[in-house]
Amino acid sequence: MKTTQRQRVEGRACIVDAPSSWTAEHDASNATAGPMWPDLVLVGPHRGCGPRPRVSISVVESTDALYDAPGRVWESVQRAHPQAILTSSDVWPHPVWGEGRLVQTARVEQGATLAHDCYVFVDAERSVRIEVDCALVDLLPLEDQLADIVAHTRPKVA
Amino acid sequence: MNRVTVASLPAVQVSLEAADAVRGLGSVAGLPATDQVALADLGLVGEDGQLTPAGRRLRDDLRGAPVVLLYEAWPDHPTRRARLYVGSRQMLYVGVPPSAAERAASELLVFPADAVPIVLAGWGRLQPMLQTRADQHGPIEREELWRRCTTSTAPPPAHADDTLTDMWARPWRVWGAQCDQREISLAYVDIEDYGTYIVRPASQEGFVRLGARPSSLLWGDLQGVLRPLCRHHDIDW
Repeated sequence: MKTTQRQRVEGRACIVDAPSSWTAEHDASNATAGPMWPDLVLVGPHRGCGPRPRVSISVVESTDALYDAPGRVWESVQRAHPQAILTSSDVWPHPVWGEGRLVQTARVEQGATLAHDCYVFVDAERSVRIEVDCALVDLLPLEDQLADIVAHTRPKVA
Repeated sequence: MNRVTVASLPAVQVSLEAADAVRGLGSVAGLPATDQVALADLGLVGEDGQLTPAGRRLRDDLRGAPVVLLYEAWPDHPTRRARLYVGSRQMLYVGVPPSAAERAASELLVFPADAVPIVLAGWGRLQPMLQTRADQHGPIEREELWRRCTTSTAPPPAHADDTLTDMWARPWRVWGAQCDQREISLAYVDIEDYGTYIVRPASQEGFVRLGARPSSLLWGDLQGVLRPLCRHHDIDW
């Protein structure tokens, strides 16, 4: 999809240049929501009759090794969605954080076919999780926009 | 990480006749009691032994639906096959029994049509792990490759380098999906200690190439079948 306008979206993490068809859910950056709440949520354009795609970004203080990240992501997906299957586990590069991981799962839930992608990047004291939830049929068409959002996510300096 | 198999999806066992009847070939009324119970659990057959409204919707949706053939083979073993009937809303997976003697052991799964990639992932027993290999091999004569897929002692190609010769000596499994109506043709070889390789036609007629396929690209391949399968439906690409 062609995007002509660019926007800057901020939470505790920030995205420089998010595609214009995506909007930030500002409630998500509510600091009182606690550590389990994402720092930034972007909602994408409506496609077909499925749910609107969502990107949730969480930045947590952590010294966890990147090596363990895929296993931890898969465990948390399985806890939340026991019917999910693991479909990929790969390396994903980021311009600031360097080599990260991408863990992809999919599931059929109450008649809906859903995809969940989770990107994990780490630096010295932080772990960044970028989680994508959308209809599976939307994942491939949104591929470029999602890669764009991930590449433009930055740590927000306090 | 967990191994995924089709068995991890909620398939049920029925007779081949029951699987046919669900898509409108023959009647559900005369099926054995075990089939009736299995189909009733899926909400497809009612207490009167006839198709329920949901059963009729599925049967009508699958009328004229494209068929995707799934296959899996280990050398020296019979090839395992299944069929996917992909309607506009729902799909039917039918695991074909390996022999006529096991007609009662057909696997049946009803899923949303857009879940075809999930069924393919289950069929392919995806076991995603970090794969950083990017090696390519070939051209290899197609016949030579299929011989290796069916016979573990098939010799490597005469021009094979050390890596390909070593790959040839490992345990292999070939699997894929084929739908000529919609020009879908996916073939992969899982090679122990090496990972998953995609089989692609080479420019030379009768020859193929093997290319290491990282799991995120493989998952993209499987999602790619939705476009040709659902092109007549309301999916907005």
